[in-house]
Amino acid sequence: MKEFSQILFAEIISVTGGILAGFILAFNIAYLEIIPGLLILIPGFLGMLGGIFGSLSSRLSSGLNLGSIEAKLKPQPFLNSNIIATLILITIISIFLGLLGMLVNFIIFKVFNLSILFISILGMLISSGIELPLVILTTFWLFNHNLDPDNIMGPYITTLGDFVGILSLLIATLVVL
Amino acid sequence: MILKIIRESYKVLIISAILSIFGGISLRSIKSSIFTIIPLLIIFPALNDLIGDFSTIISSKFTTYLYLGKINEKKIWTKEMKKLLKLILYVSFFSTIYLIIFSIIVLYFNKKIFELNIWIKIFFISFLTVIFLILILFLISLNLGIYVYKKGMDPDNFLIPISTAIADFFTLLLFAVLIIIIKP
Repeated sequence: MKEFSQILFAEIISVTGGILAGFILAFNIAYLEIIPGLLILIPGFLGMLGGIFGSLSSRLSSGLNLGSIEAKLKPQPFLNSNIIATLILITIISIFLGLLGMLVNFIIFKVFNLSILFISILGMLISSGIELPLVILTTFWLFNHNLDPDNIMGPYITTLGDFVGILSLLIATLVVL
Repeated sequence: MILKIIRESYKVLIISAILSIFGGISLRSIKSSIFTIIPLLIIFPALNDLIGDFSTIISSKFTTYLYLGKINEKKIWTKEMKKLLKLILYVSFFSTIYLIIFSIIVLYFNKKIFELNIWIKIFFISFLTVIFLILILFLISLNLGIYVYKKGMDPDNFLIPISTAIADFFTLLLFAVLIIIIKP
């Protein structure tokens, strides 16, 4: 029952956030459409944020359960390695995603747009600047309060990713334009 | 450890990115249709999230159980995994109902739009797809997770990106189906 209520509560928050994020997207889509082909980037962009930070949270949770890491915000080898690895992965994937988006846009829609690459990189950097500390702090907080991060962090990261991701893309688009 | 995380993660993230770009192409292709059916536009991120959330929970819990010894290479389908599956199925039912009801309320208060027959179709197709995807994601997590673990890799680095990408891809496929069914 405890697990059921944890997961259900997290899902309700996630669905609420998703619908509100859907509203933001629906009524700001015109900005994103100013740059042709940017729409192709959105699922990959949001998906990569979820994948990278979901993996981070899962590793931290495993580490906490195994005692490899303390749920305290202080320098620890396990935590430091995870932070550095996450930042490197964000950089690699944002460049790859941007290049792939540009290539697909060119091949299928015959539009060449370098802005997609810059928006991908800038958007990921903005998103990770916000999400990385929040994911770490929240995972620790949950563990310290006897809540299972595995049950809650997934929905939390996707909701956070939706808001932060869409806003980051909008900001990056406005900066690049 | 840094190199291990990057080495084990980057390939699956690249595959996930490629899968997601195909999702993006589908989104662009159905863009004009999806924008004319406003309920679909509203529920799209939430439904995508719902399926993605379940994939993350399944993968994350599977890995924790594996490391804690609650499941192992020889015995995967343990009582913990059966309990997890039942739990996820119950939560998905209530979450889908909540998603539809909340979307109806938000859309009605903002745009005064309410079309019962469309929402009924959306609910049934969404719920059936969520169930179908949960079962697929369970199979993927269990089998891929054990395979990766046997190879000495950390399933935490692998399962979540790949299952999220699969979930995203199938959600877009669901939307293409919904558009065909709903569009007049």
